[in-house]
Amino acid sequence: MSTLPMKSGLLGIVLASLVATGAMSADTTIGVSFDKIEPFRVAQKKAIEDAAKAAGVKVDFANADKDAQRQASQVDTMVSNKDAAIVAIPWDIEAAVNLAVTSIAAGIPFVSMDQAPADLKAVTYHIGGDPCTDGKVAGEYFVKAAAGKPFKLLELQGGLANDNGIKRSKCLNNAFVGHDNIKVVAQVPTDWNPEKALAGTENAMQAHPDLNGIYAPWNDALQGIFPVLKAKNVLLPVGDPKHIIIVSIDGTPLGCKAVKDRLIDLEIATPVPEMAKRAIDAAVKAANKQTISPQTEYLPGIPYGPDNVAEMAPKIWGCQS
Amino acid sequence: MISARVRALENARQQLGLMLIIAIVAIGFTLQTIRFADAENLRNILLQASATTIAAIGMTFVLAARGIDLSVGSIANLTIALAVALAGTPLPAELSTATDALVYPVVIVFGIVLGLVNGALVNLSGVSALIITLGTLTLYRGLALHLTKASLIPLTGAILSFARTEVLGIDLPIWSMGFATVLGWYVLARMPIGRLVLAVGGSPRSATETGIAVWRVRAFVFALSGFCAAVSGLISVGRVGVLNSDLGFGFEFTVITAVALGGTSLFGGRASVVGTVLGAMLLTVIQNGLNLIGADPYIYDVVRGGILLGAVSIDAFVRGQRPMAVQMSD
Repeated sequence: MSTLPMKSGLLGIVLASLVATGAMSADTTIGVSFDKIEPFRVAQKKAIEDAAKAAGVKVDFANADKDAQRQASQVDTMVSNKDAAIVAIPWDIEAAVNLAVTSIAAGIPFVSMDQAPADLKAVTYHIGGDPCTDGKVAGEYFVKAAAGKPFKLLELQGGLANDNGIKRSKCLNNAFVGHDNIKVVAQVPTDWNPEKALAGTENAMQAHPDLNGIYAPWNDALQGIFPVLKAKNVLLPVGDPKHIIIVSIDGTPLGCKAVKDRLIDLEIATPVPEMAKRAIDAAVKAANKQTISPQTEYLPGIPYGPDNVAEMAPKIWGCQS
Repeated sequence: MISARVRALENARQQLGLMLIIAIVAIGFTLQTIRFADAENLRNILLQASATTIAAIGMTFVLAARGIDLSVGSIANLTIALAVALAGTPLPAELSTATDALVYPVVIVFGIVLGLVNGALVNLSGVSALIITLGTLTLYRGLALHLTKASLIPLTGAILSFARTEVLGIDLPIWSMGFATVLGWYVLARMPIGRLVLAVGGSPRSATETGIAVWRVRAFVFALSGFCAAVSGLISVGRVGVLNSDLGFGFEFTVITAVALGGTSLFGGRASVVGTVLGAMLLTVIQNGLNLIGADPYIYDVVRGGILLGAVSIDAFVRGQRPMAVQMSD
């Protein structure tokens, strides 16, 4: 009796299961282009590498260093190298659309991560944090903390030309609609730079020494805020009557430490490992010609504060170190 | 050939024009908020201007000698990264790095060395300083990223002292800025090396023909620029208390803008340290004032660009210059 049909059947089952699980060979390379490299991105890079290792693929990493042209060249190179898929954190949200179109036209799936491109339909898949929900949660916290009393808020803004910066600001302010007691006394553009956050806080406190709250839409801003509060003798723990209420976003080790030290009231942690895992899983699936649904996903941040940090720490990536 | 007296008069007019602009801008902000004009805010402005001003004084010498140093921000970043690597003790429990006084010689020496590397590359290659320092901008920044792994490194200890110490009630960075201004002015206007710098900037060929060691002058200005950039890095990092991969990113544009506003020619041969200081002050006053009045964040660049254009136009008017288009058609 021939064993050929049995062997063919087994081979078919193995191939089918490989396709179904999206398994790829260890030689499969996924191109990864980051907009910049900074502490938060370092954590994202590690999460991507971990996710790629778990998926059995290699990553070819490139850093655009805040240069849209450089990112375009990197994506071109990844296309020329015939990488199985590309995962990118766009620097320029408009330029990212063209990158996605070029890549997909060459038969290479394009996954955007963290920063949404201007047209989400252009990409194979997008996974990001939910900057609008994060901003809204921060705004609602300030409204609750103000309890109807007059409240002066300093808003430090991240990038004015990127999705996270815009939505974290816009949705914060949307939460204040109907709450006239909350007055945003200054909106300081910082371009995600702690030195500008420091000068902005210094200047805002000069104009408004009776400031009640500060919104730091990324954790590194805290490094600019704390020296100013310390110099003004108002770097006081949560619960102190003279404490200035601070809400921040990211969930980095420094953010976690600031919560543990009771220096900030609320931290909204971006679920970095989950975001990276979904980006890599989608890239692998798309490279295997599998359908990805939904095509766009947002992961809201995980809010936590000094009173529940011990309980929440296992879920917060920055509290792991 | 312009005589020294005519040049001095021209510089004085330039500085007067800039002072006028600063006064107009300051009055404008004071009318918006009285807190702009108090002593505490004057301290804020001087403190916030100190890092830019010191780096800009170094850049003034480079531009005066017909060079340019695009690597100042990267030098600030790399020297601090080197100091933290060589004289820092990581404290994992505190998520920070402790530093001792050794950071100061390390920062200063490496600032000078990195500047000298720029100067040597310009001298040896004969390639434009613009291209060379564009290369070292990336190289130095890359080395800093490699050293720090792009991590955010909170710092404690001696490295913070320079930016956070007061002498006679005035912050050390402000004293340093004042000292750098006086010294820079004296060196450029009164010392033989200052005349050599301007001579090389005016015409490198003539300078060579008259026996000036042009390569030495270039090495001097780049070393000075590296030194000033390193001191700026100490101020920036000391104020924030953290070494961030973004330290010094884009700093070169602010510094060159301050120098150009101050009347130093981008083509060499004409420079003013006092003008540079006023240029840096104007940039800081605008930023400070906009923060104070709670300006719409999207209007910052518009206001900044408008005031800078206004400053350049008024300066041209005060100095009795005709518009460039007319000059070119002559």
